[in-house]
Amino acid sequence: MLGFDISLHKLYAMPLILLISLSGCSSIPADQQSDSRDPYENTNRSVFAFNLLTDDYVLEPVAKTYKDTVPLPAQTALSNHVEWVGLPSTVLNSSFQGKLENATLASLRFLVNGLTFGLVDLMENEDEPEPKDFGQTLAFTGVPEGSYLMVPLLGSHTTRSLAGRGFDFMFNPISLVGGSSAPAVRRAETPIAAITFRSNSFNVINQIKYNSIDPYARTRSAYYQRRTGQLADILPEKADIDDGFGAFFE
Amino acid sequence: MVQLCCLFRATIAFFAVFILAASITVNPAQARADSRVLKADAFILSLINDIRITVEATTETNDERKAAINAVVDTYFDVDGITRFSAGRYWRAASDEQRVHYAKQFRNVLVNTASRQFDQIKGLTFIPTISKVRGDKLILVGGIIQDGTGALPDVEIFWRVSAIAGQPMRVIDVQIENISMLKTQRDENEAIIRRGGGSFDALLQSLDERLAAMAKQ
Repeated sequence: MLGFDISLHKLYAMPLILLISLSGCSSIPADQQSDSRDPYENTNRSVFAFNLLTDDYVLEPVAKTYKDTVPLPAQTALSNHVEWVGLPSTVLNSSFQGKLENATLASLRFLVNGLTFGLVDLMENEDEPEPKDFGQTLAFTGVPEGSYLMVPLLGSHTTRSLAGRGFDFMFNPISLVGGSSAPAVRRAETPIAAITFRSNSFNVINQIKYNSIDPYARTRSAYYQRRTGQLADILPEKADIDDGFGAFFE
Repeated sequence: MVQLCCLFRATIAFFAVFILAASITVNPAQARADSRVLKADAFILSLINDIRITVEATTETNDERKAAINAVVDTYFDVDGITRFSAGRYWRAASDEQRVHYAKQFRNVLVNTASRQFDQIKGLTFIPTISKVRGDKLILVGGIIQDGTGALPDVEIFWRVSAIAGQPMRVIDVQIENISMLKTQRDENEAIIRRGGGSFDALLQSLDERLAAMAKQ
């Protein structure tokens, strides 16, 4: 059982169940797609509308209150903790990808900062490991990217990155915590991650949400560019950031 | 024996000077690239300084803000190139009338959006890092944006600067955390046109509606 609470499985499965139920999941003809990587665009746009609604009524107001009322040191501590929780996955995936230096850095940071449950960054001035996820490991092993998917509550993914996310979630150290207060801690973890993410990206997300003509298309473009950057050392041929700018001078 | 020793020393000294000279001789192409990078770095620092002055000085009225932003945009940005590129592959098929309409509304949306974000820019600091030459026309000027209050994490930024021989330098794009603002804008515009059945007017109509909505806010 490894102290793994079944409620965590449920929590993670919920967006997937929502995704499946929302989708008649029929792909649309290529000439009607606004991006060839997005064959389920109509379904994805429905999910995006649902996510925006959730953001309007829950995430944005909560993140605003969090930003305005929680003292800055406490916000930093929670951000540190969320980052710390992702380190075991970075250790494993760095090892799978042969990036042993990164794996060592992440291991050290995880162990040292583990003394404070990740709340205090005791290695503030040391080299920071690069976050690595299982989606990147799948790319490393040659698994194709798949289609663009807008997942309820979790946002932009590709088929490959969504599969990887499930694996990474299992290595969340909180899922291995035992004791009587463990279930409550585990249940609090996902909302904390969501609120700190929304708060740290408050202006960027609001910029897309309120100032775009087509927020969905903008989100998709930003996701692919960011993901390409994260995969730069694995798929360098796809990571030429100046790709396409030749046309600027034509 | 003494003469031989002197000759030996002189030979060593000659080679030492030769090696030293060779080591500080700079490859001409490298030197040109370095001078372009230095110019691009100085160009961006000048832009940052002008933005800072603009943000600090013009907070009276919205029209003042817009006028100041327009001045910065015209001085530092390749507006025509950005406009053309942002419309993507549909620019070629657009009529002259559509192009003029698009250029006007695209700029209005950009300036309106920027003027609303003045308050977010305050307190941010740009720290130059590394700049890179990309071919013979582009330079990426890198840096970190830091929030003085510590409330926001550091953000990596690259200014994509066109550096064509004989022409003034101009910013063509800003890339934040691997996300190019210009590519994102182009992808959004192309999506709007494709969903509008390939009609450029679909984009123009969306821009008009966006501006109308901004005017009401």
